[in-house]
Amino acid sequence: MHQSYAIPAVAAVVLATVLIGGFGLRISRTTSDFYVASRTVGPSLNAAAISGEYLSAASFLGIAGLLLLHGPDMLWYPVGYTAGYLVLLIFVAAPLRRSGAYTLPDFAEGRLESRQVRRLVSVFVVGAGWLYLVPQLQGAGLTLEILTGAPRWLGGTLVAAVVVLAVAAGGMRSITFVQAFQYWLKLTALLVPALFLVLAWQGDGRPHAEFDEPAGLRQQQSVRVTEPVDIRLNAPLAVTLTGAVDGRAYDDARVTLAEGTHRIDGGTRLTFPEGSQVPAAEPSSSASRPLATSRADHPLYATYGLIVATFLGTMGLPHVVVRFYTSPNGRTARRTTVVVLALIGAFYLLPPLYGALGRLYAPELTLTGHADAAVLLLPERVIGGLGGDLLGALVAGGAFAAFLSTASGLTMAVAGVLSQDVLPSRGVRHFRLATVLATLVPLAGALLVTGVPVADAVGMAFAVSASSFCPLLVLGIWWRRLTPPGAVAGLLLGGGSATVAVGLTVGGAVGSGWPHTLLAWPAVWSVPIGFLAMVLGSLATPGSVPPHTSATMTRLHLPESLTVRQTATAAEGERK
Amino acid sequence: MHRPPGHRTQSEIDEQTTLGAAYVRSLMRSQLRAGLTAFGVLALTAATLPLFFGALGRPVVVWTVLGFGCYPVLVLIAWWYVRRAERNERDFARLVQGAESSPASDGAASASDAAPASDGTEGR
Repeated sequence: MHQSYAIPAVAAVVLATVLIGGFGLRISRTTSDFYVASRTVGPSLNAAAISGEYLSAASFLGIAGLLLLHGPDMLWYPVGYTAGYLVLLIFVAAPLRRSGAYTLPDFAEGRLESRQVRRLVSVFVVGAGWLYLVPQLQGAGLTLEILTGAPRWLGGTLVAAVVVLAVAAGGMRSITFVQAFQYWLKLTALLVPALFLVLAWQGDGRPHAEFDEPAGLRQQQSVRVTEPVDIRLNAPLAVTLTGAVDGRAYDDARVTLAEGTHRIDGGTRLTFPEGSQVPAAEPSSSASRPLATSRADHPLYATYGLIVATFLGTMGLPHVVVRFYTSPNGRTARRTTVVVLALIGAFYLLPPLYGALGRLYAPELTLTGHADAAVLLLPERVIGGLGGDLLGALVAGGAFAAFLSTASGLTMAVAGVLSQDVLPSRGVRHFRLATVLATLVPLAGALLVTGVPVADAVGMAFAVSASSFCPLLVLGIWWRRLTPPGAVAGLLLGGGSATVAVGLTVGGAVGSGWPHTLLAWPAVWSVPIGFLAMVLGSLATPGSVPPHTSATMTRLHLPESLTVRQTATAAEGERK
Repeated sequence: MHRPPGHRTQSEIDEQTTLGAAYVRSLMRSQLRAGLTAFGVLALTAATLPLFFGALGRPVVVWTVLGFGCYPVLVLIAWWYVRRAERNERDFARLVQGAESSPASDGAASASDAAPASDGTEGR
């Protein structure tokens, strides 16, 4: 990749983000502007902003990488991310907007009238937000490293710095413009190169690869393995080696590796002749075994785990929820969600294309552990020349837009909770302090923890959200008998068990087999636990039903045409 | 779009009388029914597709269905749900206003009959 084009592209995206953020600063005056853009964002702008915020690094880079590695089953990721919005629309969108709250903790306190539940929800919001921010910053580091050779920490730090500037400067109003712009940028950045890639593929005689076969190389290809990897060969393989394999050192030596498993040390360069099959990397039993790899144990269960987590987890993601408060009313919130579904559905038609072409033209990425880079490398690889470089630069700019928009939305949500529930005052100055706090912790996490693929880390955040916030929102909105003790029980048992499972998986406590699969894909059992604990806990404490439940339910479900003055006064009274 | 809501029924809902609660319950039931129908279609599809793909064993089908085919279906379900939910709310607003426009003496009685009745027609 030629840095001469990629660096200006990334710089342009960063500059545009800061400029549009600064534009927001000039028109962002009041506290309400800051948190919810004064609730005046119309459906089309808001839908583009929601989509821009939602399409993260996991969507832009991660899906194509996973498809390249593991084949079409991974298509459940984009489908799940989209269907999650449908479930959100069906059960949550309009009532959540009508609740008149700013954040999830606001909703919890308003509905259950309990400070204790509010604090617990705040902890989960901050936790889930940070869990989701870490892979965004890591992805930024990886991207900048591939594009320019910059050290890994630089990309994450750059994104964190820009986000703090943009969010602290203009709050929600400026972020809305920034993210709407970034949706269209991301779509363009994938769509235009995709058109050229498909044309090049046509001109190449429309080759196609079978997914059940190992990927074959179409030209001589050199691969540098960064981390130690085990490969399994079904047939002898002739390669040129520089580095160490099975403990023996080679220097530009032509070697035929026998059938069986071989260990390649980190830093080894392998050159495969044209037409040879790229060996599949063995799932190692080391701590950072990627989730997607562990699918191999029980693929059907893993697929269902993914479906449950993404379908039900979307509604609880802190940066997704906070967006609904910016719609003028419940009806607009619903219509906005339909537009969002169409926008993200249109976007998700593209990553699979990159995944399929990546399998054809860049199969060696399966060995290097950098499959997330497939989207970035394809234009140069397939098209080449000046055109390839320019298209590559466009993709790089889009990738940075993905990191920036999702990271700023998450920072906004986490900082909102921190400034309301942790820091003493709610003024704009404290919000700015909270923004710094909200970014520093995940940045430290991104620099310390490495080796968890972007899409996997995001999947874990979805599982935690599905097991804690989904029961709280669905039961809170539709069930009058929910009590604060029941909600606490559900949050702790459902969300807690999912968090523990995710922690054990990342920590590498359980190596393989069913225990590992169950912990790596917790949603299938942790979501029912969350719902069950909340229902049983509430039924066991019928005396604790909040006194104003009936009034709250009325506010959540009554159309605005009947409650105009109610919501207006409630919204003003809560924050001012 | 429609007349401003009548004071009498409006205040019943605001003040949490039994009648007001019954109104809101009927609205919630019809909205929940619309939601569960849409969710049921989605859940049934999502639950059976992996089994179907597994039995079929042809990657091309998985690519086509998950890569392209499912997004229009998701948008269609969403569109259907929004239309349904907005219709429920319109019906409800009409019910509340209708109760107000009837004679004051039997307005409360006819409204309390109407609330469950409208709920019943919704299911058909």
